[in-house]
Amino acid sequence: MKATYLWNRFRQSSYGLVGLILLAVILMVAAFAPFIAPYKPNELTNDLLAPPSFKHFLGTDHLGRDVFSGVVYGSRVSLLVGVTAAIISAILGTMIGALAGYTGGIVDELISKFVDIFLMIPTFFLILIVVVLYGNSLFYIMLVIGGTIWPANARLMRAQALTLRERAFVKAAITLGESQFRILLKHIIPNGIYPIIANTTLQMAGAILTEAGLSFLGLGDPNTPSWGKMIFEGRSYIQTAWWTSFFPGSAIVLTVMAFYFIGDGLNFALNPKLKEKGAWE
Amino acid sequence: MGRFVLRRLGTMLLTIFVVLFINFALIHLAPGDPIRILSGLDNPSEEMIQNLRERYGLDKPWTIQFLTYLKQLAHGDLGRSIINDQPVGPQIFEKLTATLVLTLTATIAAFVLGTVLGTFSAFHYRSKLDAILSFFAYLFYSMPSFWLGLMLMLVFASWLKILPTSGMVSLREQQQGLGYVLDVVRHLILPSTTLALVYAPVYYRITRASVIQTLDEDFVTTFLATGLSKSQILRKYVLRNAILPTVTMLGLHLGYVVTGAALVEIVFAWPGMGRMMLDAVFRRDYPLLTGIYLMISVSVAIAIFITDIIYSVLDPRIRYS
Repeated sequence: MKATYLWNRFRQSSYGLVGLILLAVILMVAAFAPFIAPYKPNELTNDLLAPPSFKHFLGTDHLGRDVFSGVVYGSRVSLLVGVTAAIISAILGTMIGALAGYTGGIVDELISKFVDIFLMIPTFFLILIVVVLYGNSLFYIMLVIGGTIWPANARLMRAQALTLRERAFVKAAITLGESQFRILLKHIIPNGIYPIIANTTLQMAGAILTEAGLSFLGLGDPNTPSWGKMIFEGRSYIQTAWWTSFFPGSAIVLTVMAFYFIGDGLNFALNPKLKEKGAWE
Repeated sequence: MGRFVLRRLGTMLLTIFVVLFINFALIHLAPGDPIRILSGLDNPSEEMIQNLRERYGLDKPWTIQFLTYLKQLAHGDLGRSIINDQPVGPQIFEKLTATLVLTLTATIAAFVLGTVLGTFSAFHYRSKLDAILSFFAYLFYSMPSFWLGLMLMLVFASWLKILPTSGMVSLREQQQGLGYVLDVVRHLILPSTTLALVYAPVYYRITRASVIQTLDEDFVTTFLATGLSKSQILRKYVLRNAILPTVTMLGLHLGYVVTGAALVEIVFAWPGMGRMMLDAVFRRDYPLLTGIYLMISVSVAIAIFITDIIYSVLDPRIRYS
């Protein structure tokens, strides 16, 4: 019943459905990239810096690579980084937050203090340092982004666990002698996970932007075609060939927007206080 | 109030310490040998390696190095750059001015733009204009700052040729006095607009949500019933309550400005900390990196501390939570 209610609320939100459709399209593009892209992403054609035409829908870059094909294949990297990093963050945040909120006492105090402090640290510079020092493979970038953004989830989950542990069904489980671990896994986390899901969608958008920023600094994975890297490489030719950086950037904007739309739609669905109409009218 | 301030002060100092520690540990556990880069040779002699190690204290265990670093900091010494042997402190401060000029301009512009439009949207909730503004907020919120910078540069500098492409002053015609200021302002327009457009949606969204929520409160309904005019209620009661969350955001942003602008600085060749940070990272210049990171963490911690205090003055409830 809860799922139907949430779905109805989600549909009533301003942009939730738009985001979902947009994401579905991007997912299709990523899945069927080899069939959609007319060229291989790294294929060097004889047309250098050619403007958009029927042969090259979005033009070519300084090495003769087809921009349209690059944008199509680039979706894979962005989605992979965004989704993986945010899921790592969700798992870490949920576990740590649930532990803190449910256990309470000194454990909670220590974790909360750590989370508070971690939230105050500017993450982009930290991610940047780690990537430079330890290597910039795609796997590493995802791990580092996920490893630095989880405290926001931990804070959300802790608040959930604090209220849930006072609820009758959890108290009943304790009385019945279920193990602490089982209570956390079976009762606390499943019932408190919703705000984390909404936040994870927003973090996917953030992770995509972070990866793009790293690639723009030349710190992306050198072996994969990515939108940020295309902008980075097109930057030198911006005056004569605007298409080399314009289109990859537009792709980033669309993808990030899709995740923000869905995240906000979920937040709207989850927060009964948010109304369709204000009292003002 | 005194206890509240003290507690926040404690958190601030702890944050700075933790940041220093994380940063220091990260850099010292990392692969890559600065001695090899320092010596400038493929095969430096043992003697040279030894000398360099001792000179920069790299022969000692990292715990000792960390303590030495803290001790130096207490004396206001941020260390010397490994690359050019100059003291780190003055180097950072030299760049800090340019970064602060850019980021403060952008933050203030974003704050004003965001709160004014946010209030307007909330007041005209669910109107066509509200929908359009909300959409643009989403759009700019989703843009990578560096890409927006490139596009603005393309349109206004390359195509329309009404604004300079990069730098902070015109190199061909060096100006003095008022001419200099005007020249800097001309160079400031594009990078600060870029940052302001990316930051404004944050304030817009918070203000809009906050005003809408406040308009829904019982006291507003009561005032409406007593016949007070809408604009009076908005001015006297709603904004005062609704502006609080934006103040928190402003504090957070004022701290983040130093890093947040780095990418935009690089796009526009703005002579701030962004470029220096990137160079320091690539050359593994440990003292410069720790110095920059210290500056950033301190500014963030101080900004959050000040915001907390301002917030507690504006809203006494917060002190007791």
